[in-house]
Amino acid sequence: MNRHIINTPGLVHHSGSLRWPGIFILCAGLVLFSGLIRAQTVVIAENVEQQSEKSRYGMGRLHYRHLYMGFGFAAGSPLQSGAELVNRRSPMLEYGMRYRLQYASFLALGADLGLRRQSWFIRQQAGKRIPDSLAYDKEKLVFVALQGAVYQRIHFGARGDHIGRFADLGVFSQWFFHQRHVTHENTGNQSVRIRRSGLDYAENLSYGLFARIGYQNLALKLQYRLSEAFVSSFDLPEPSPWHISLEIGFHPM
Amino acid sequence: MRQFTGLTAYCLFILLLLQAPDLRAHHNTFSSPYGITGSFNGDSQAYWVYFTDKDKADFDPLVYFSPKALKRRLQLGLSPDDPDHYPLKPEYLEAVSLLSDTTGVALRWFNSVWVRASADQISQISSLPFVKDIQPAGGWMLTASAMIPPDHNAAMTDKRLRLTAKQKDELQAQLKAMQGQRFAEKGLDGQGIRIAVFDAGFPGVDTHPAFMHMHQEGRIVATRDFFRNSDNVYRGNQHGTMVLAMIGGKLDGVAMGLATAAEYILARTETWHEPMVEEQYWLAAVEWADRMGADIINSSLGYFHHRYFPEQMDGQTSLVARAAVKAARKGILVVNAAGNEGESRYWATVITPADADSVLTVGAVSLPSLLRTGYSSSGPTADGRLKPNVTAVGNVLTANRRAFAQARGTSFSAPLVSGFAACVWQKNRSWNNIQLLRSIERSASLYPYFDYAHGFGVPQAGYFLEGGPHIIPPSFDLIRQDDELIMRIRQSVSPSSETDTGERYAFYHIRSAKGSIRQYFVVRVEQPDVIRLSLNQIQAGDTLYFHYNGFTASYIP
Repeated sequence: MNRHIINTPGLVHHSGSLRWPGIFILCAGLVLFSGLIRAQTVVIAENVEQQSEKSRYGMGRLHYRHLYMGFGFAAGSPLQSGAELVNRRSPMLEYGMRYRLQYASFLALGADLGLRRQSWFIRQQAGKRIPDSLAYDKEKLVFVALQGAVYQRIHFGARGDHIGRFADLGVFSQWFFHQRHVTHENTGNQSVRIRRSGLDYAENLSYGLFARIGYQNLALKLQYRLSEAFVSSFDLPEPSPWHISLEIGFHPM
Repeated sequence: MRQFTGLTAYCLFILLLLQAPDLRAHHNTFSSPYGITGSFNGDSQAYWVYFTDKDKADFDPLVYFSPKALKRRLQLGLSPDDPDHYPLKPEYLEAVSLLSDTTGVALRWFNSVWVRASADQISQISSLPFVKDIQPAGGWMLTASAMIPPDHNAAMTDKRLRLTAKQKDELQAQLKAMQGQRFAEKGLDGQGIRIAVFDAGFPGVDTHPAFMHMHQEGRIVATRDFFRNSDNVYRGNQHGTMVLAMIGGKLDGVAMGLATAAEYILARTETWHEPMVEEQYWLAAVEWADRMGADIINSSLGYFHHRYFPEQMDGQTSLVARAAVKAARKGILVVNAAGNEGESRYWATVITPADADSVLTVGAVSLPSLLRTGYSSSGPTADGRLKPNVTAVGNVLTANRRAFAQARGTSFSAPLVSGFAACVWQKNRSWNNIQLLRSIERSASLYPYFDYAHGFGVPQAGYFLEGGPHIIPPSFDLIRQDDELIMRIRQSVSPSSETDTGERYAFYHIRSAKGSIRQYFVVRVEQPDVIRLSLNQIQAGDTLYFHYNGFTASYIP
């Protein structure tokens, strides 16, 4: 890049100290003549050579990464009775960073890394067994996890530098760094809420499979947990392994 | 056991998922402007199928071309018996139709037809002896435009349509940037020129007073909705309405565009949000416009990242760019918006067909500086050619379906130049389209200077009314001091034009030996020594070009 010198009249640097009247005169002069000594303004400066370099990064190119956010719910029925959830009150929120490596025109590999918070709102009914058989007015298990995933992406249809239509198949793994059991009970005119952390009956790790279909920045994801939710020695029934969610990708233009 | 059940369910879901992107295509039907219909199969893709040959059978130029089109061809010395216009062989179309789910637009110029077919079907089609080539095409997408109700707002109140003094000034300033009022003073208003406008719909053009003069004088001579296969274009997206107003609208006696007496043919080639399918309608429309005798095509449309990469903007890759070049070879001046991707992180360059060589590509500038707006796409093309060719005002006041609207985009710069071109062609009817294009470039405010943001600048009517170029006195000096080059403004320079607002800008660029610009700059002039350049870092063979107030000078270090 060439040196682009803007012709700016410089201030004179005096070797000796300025006395107050001198400073005042200098300041007054600066104010009075500020219109004359302002710097030139470069309105447009373009380096065409830099722009013409073919990028390897972009929505339809070799590398791409973006932020995403997903919101969904537990879905389906429990695998064993006694672990029924109220699905519509068992939300999941996740957000993170997604990377995608486009290794063929319609194939890509990707990886996600993010945080996930999910709740299981436990249905209070006869035969309930998770985490125990005690009944409350409201009861839920909350899991906060660091989540990673890798996936294979298939693109559909002709496209340019664009996300387009896609389907992903992948595996995920979660490490629960915070687990909480929350109960809520009304006793007369008193409301009692109890939170328990460090749940020894809940597994710290989880893994499973997921599939996603999407167009541009929207995707529908279905996730299936293969791992057990609870430590086997506690002999607790398994809640539904399904989660369904809607994801939004944030693509800077 | 549980894992096995889960895996089985998962695999079933995957199978369903892999079909999902195409599921919505099932049972959709399609009707083309050529009356060919079909239905979709779930696993099909879109292709262009090119044929080896066609013949003159059933082609009668006197029937195919409108009288106006024949006249234009005669004027330009083009034979009406052009093989490009011969129809595709019906037996070829029928054979392909039988082997595909759907056939769409058939293009005479490219001897090709759009089809949707599965991999097996396309393999069978490719083995047909008369199939020359098969290329992937844009996919199919149903759009929201189908849900847009027709505009029944015929009764417009006077209050909404009365221009205030400020609005009148705004409209005049848009045209004054091109010295448009000087055309009007000379009675140049595009009369006798036929302009085709390709856009996403023209709602309100049949009712809005800004277009009444066109209707009353019978100057909307043909309409075609390629999306709906009908002649009613007065629906859809009002983008076309706003664009048409910038070419030839008139209200309260104030011209919104310069070609207020031109003839118009209106083509709806786009739907609500520019999905992938519309490129084929643009291609069909360009053949139709040629057939209907269009002198100028205004296309405030373009295609980019949905199906292309910036490095494909070379004027040869996209079918629309190649069609635009063909249209130019048939004597039509194609005016296309440069695109609004100037602020895009991933695109920034011109869109297609604005990348085509013989297209007059128009970028956007803002008033009063006449400097590029941030959103206006810049050149060069992927193969290093100058684009945009010229610029015009992009932030405009225009008519919409019901009243007026402030709008911004190169979409509105292009029609301003289309109207300008119509006036120039009216005055110089013997010119061909390329002569017209080059003369518009020469008339522009920066010519012979150019850069990739402004092209040659804003076209100026005075160039055509004052007998061509005149000697411009030097407005600056280039002074070498050791290793520095100083651009020093002469104090005696007077304002360059009627649009001068007192703000001054100096332009300079560094051009390589190959003729392409490596770097370009615009500097606000606030003191005589505007620019000081270190010559140490200028590469061998480079030339420096400077422009200020109509005067251009070069310096070879």
